[in-house]
Amino acid sequence: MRYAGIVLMAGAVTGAGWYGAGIIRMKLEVLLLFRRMISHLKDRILYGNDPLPEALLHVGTWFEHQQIGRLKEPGKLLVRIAERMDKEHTAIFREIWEEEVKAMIKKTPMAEGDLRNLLEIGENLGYADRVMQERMIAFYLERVEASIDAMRTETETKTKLYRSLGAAAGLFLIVVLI
Amino acid sequence: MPIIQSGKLHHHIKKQNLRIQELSAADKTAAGSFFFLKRSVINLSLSHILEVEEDRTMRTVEKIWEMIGQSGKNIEEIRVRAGRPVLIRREGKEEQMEFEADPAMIRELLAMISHHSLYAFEDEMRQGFLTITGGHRIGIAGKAVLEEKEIRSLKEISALNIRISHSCRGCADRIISGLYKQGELLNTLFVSPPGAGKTTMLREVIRLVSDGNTFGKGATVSVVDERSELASCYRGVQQIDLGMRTDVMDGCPKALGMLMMIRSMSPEVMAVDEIGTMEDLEALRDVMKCGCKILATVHGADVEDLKKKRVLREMAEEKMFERYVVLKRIPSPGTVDGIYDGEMQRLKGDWA
Repeated sequence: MRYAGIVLMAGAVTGAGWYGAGIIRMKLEVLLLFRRMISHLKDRILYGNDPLPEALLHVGTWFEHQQIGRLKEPGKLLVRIAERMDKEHTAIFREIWEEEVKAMIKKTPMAEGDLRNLLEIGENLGYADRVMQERMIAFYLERVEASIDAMRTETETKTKLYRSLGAAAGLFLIVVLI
Repeated sequence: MPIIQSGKLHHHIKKQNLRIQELSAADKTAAGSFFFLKRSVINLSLSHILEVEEDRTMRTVEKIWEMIGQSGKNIEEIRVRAGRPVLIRREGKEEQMEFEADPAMIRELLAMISHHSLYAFEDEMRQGFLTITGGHRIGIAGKAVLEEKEIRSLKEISALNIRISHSCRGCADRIISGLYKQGELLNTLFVSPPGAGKTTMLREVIRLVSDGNTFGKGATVSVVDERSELASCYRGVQQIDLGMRTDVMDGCPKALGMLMMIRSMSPEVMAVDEIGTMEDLEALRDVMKCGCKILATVHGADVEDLKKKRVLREMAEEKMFERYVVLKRIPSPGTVDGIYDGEMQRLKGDWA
């Protein structure tokens, strides 16, 4: 009984390390996904000349069906925003965007800076002409790119660190408790 | 007097056309302190005042939006001008609303009616109007931004003219007999001044021709809807019933669209709104060569008016159209003034 308890505790600590590493990896995957989604959105806006609800619905549905698990959330976010824009004609777009992004963040991990960038793009999306849309999306993608670069190097080391720490802490527990 | 109308600060904010989101934190604090010192009795924060102001704007915008959706209430036109009361034309009579428009309100209204996608209407805005879901046309006036003598866009939009689209089932019943000869549809041009109901009449005739009626069997109709006004397509679906045998080319220039439809959809009837350019005339000639019948509209006070315009005079001389239906606004839009044959001779009959 005692040994079983020790093994379970050690397993839990090791698992926590792996979970932490998973969260970091997930943050990177979410960011990569947003980069692809916003690039598609840019194409729909600039070359398809789609109104915002139509563009959001199209891109959101596409990415929702392509992904699995928690990575479905970014696609769902765009679909929900498009649906609300259709239903709530008199609502302000940036408010819908902000509310939905904040609701999504509860289910999807994202760094604070990336969340801020995402909220900022909602303040300007749909405003003014096509040139402005292009510049604003390009600016967002630039910042996402920088964030991805920083995160890539960080993820590699941090993932290893979290996993090793988890495993080491588990072993340490076993040693101490036995 | 409401608090919102009592302070100088409010006027400053209104004059500058500022919104909460556009103010920096320092601005808010400075302006808030100023307001507090000058009017310490009314202990209200600046953000609260601005929110009240924003709420008022949004309520007005919502009210106008509701009116746009109430096409059943006989509203024909809503005029929104910055700094002036909103005017409504209902059944030919003008009504003045209790609220005034301002630039912020016009901006919000435009954002709302364009589904927060003004960029998607850039080409239309260059022409001074945009057509929204439901076929309503929004005329725009503001400051033109020029680029090499061409209008690039409009900014500082100061006035909107919202023309509410109506579908009026049955309005063409009384004229449809005049548009057929021995079961065959005749090339028809609808002539009227703006706002007299020629687009509404054209829609109804398209539906009757497409579905079939007492005077002729159903025919395949191709509609080239350059301004999305006839079928009001939204995400590819017609918002207005144009009949079961009708195909719509949406948002395409008329001349180009007519030739495309001839090649792709083999129509028996071609319908277009507001013709008048040389390209239109050339395209209509091609359409007629293919044995296709034409339904079209044009701006004009009467048939004599057509002779004053070069392109339309050419059409009349060629006897391109076999029927001219002239509409007038008085006593109400859609009133048929008369139907004329290809020689521009008035046909006998009670069409009104």
